[in-house]
Amino acid sequence: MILKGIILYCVSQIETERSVSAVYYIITGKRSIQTVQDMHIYQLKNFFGIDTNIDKSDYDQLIQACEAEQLLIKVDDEKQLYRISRQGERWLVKENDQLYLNLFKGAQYGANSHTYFDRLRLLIQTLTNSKMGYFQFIPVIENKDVENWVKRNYSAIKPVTNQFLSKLYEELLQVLHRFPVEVAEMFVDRLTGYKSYGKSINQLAKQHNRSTKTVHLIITGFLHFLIDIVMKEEPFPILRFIAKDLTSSVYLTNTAQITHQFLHNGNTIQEIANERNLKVNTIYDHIVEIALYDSDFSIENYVSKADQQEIIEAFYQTNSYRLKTIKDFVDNRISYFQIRLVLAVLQNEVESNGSIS
Amino acid sequence: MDQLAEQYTLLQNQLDKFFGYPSFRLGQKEIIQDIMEGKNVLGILPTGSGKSICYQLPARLLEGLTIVVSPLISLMIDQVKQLKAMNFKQAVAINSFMDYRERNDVLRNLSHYKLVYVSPELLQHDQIQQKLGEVKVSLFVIDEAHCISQWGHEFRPDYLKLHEIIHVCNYPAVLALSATATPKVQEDIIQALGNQKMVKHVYDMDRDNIAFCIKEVNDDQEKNAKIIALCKKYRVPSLIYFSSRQAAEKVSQILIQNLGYRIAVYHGGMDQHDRITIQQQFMNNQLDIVCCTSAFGMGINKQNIRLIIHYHLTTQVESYIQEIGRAGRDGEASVSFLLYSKKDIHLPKNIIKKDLPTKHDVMVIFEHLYNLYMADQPLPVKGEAMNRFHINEVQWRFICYQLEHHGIIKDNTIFFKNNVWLRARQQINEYCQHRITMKQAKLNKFLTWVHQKDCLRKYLYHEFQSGYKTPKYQCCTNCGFSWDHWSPVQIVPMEEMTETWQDKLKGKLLVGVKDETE
Repeated sequence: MILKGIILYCVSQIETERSVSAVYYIITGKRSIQTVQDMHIYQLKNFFGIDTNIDKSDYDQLIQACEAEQLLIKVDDEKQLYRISRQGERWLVKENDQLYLNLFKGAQYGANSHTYFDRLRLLIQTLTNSKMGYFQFIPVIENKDVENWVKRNYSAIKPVTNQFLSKLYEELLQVLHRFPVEVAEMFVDRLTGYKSYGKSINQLAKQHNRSTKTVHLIITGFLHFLIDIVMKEEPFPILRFIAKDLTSSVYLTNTAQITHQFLHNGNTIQEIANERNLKVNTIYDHIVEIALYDSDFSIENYVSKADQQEIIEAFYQTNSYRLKTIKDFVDNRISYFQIRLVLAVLQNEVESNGSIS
Repeated sequence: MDQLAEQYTLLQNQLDKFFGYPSFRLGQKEIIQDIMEGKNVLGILPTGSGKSICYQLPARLLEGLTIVVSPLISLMIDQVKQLKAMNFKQAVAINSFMDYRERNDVLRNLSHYKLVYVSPELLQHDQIQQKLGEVKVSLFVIDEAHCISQWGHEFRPDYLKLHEIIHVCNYPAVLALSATATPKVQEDIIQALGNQKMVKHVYDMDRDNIAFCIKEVNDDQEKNAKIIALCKKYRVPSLIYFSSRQAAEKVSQILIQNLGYRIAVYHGGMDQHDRITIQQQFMNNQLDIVCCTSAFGMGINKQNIRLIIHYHLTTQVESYIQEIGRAGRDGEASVSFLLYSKKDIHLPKNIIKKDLPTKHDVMVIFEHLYNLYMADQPLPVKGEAMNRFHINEVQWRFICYQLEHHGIIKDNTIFFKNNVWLRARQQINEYCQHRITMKQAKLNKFLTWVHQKDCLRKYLYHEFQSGYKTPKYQCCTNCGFSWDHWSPVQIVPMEEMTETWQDKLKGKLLVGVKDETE
């Protein structure tokens, strides 16, 4: 259900400018330049990579189901363009309280939020069991990195286990109050303590009358929001400590990072392409990606001030992110690459200032 | 103190030290002593008697490696987890779920381990055999050894090649273990392992604290009604066995709606993590009833299971004995309740057929292999073959074994000789027919028992042992079993449903609970 809500919302954002596959790539977190740019342009960063396990065929079925329920309307079969219907919009409003769409912060915390949860769960299981002198428990988490993280911290925490647990309890109590009751319940039931094993996703789904996919998404959203709170607000030292060295994520694709380094060293686009044995167009893609993330990145080497102005004018006139529309509007000498760069910078400004206009 | 007693005390101390058990259970001490003296042992111990200790303790004490062959991958993984939880870190399970790199790591450092579980299929790999030849193997354990006999209830062709592996390992002490093996199967085991001298330790499997209750009903609806009524009266730790995953799921839903108890499903289709979760919850008394398939229970050591219900017939006496053996390990009065309707009989029949390829399957496979041979192509990999031939994993494994046996394939290469192929095809078909007839006979035996008018206890075990113990509590339906005379301790559930998340969180984090270590 939540996935359905997310899809409807995303489609309503991109309107008919992209195919529904673009939404699929955002949700599954495809690390391509096109997808990264899409999520910025259409302000769908929060849903980036929130579920990397959906099959394309399942996704397509869901789209068809939405169409059958007349929540989505197919505009162009060949290009797979859809728009949200009135009914779809009403559905989003009506179900809003159950969709928890505001919890997600995919681009920011997506990659590491489940590791955060794994650390937290294994830490709680370890501390409560060791407090009771029971060392034969079967760990809930089977991830070597997480195991090592707990091991590294265990000896320091062990002497103050009681204080640590009560402090953790207070922090969780305080932060959980900001979530809907259903979400807080799911989180607590998922925890494993001493002789009290956490519930499986399946059990939570039955208990709350949700699908397993939805429970998974709720927990994902919960973690994004939780990490966001504890990183931004003061009184959560323990919950923040668990996030340490997890949140510093860089979203540039590897290959774009290498290009960034070359640019930094003063190489030209052509030189980089030759050196790396890549097409010039690929390097263009990298530069657009860099411009999206790095607000200090200057695009003046690639687009003159005057041309920038012309593209911005065109954007406001056409009120479209569609490259072709803008291209038709501006002078011929301006390339697609230049339009994309300007849109990327514009996007950056939008994000730091709030909204467009 | 004489030498034997001294050695015994020593073993007992080590049992306590390594596993936390104060004393040996029936048969363990005798088997372990023989193993420590380097003898070959055949151990037939009833389900739940702690068979695995018979090799886990020697593995810790012996110099060199203990190899355990087990057909059940999930059981291996569980056991390794439990051993690690008990601080026995030099245990590992080599299985097909491991990725290539991980497996290579283990094999490279094989001599650093003390206890290695491995599936019979993997033992056939040259790389693994070569490694085994390079290290010192002190004990070679064959778990579920009845799989070696085609008269056993779960024949595994790969088990027939184990004597070759024993040779590769340079003849270490051999321990063959099973919970259910008739005298005939026991002979087969000894013969298939190369006819070496083996000390037999055979223990009776009858359970004097379990009563047998059988009830014929008209259909599944009536079964559901009976179970609901029974569980309303007795809220006790219970297992309900089903022959299919779907049925387990479906009935669990009905029970949840009607009982409101803490009920979960367990079957082989669930992922490893969920399975462990359900097991642990049941162990920790967080669940009242588990609706499961035969995948549940192996390796689980819960003492207070009071009621085992069979929603479907099993395909043979052996499976039934194993499954009911999980009840009442603490010796308290427990009940096995079997429900069946006349319509049920096709279920075990279908299960029997599913283990083997049909004549048509064999024909299609041979034709396709011939085409591959002509095109100079190798044998398809497992997943591809299962898809192409519409057969399951068990059937494909069987086919591969047979093809290899007849010299038609070797290391994924196909070899063709017209007369060999013709003979092989005929023999495979005959063999399948023979297996099905045999399994059918086993099913008939079980059905005869279900319809038995005389004492059920007497006839359940009569093929395995000569007598049986006098029941401690009630005996069976035919000896006048009555539910009214059964009054087990009931579960008093904590008010879990009404507890707020705040309270639960406090409980999980043990806030305000005194330390055990203080």
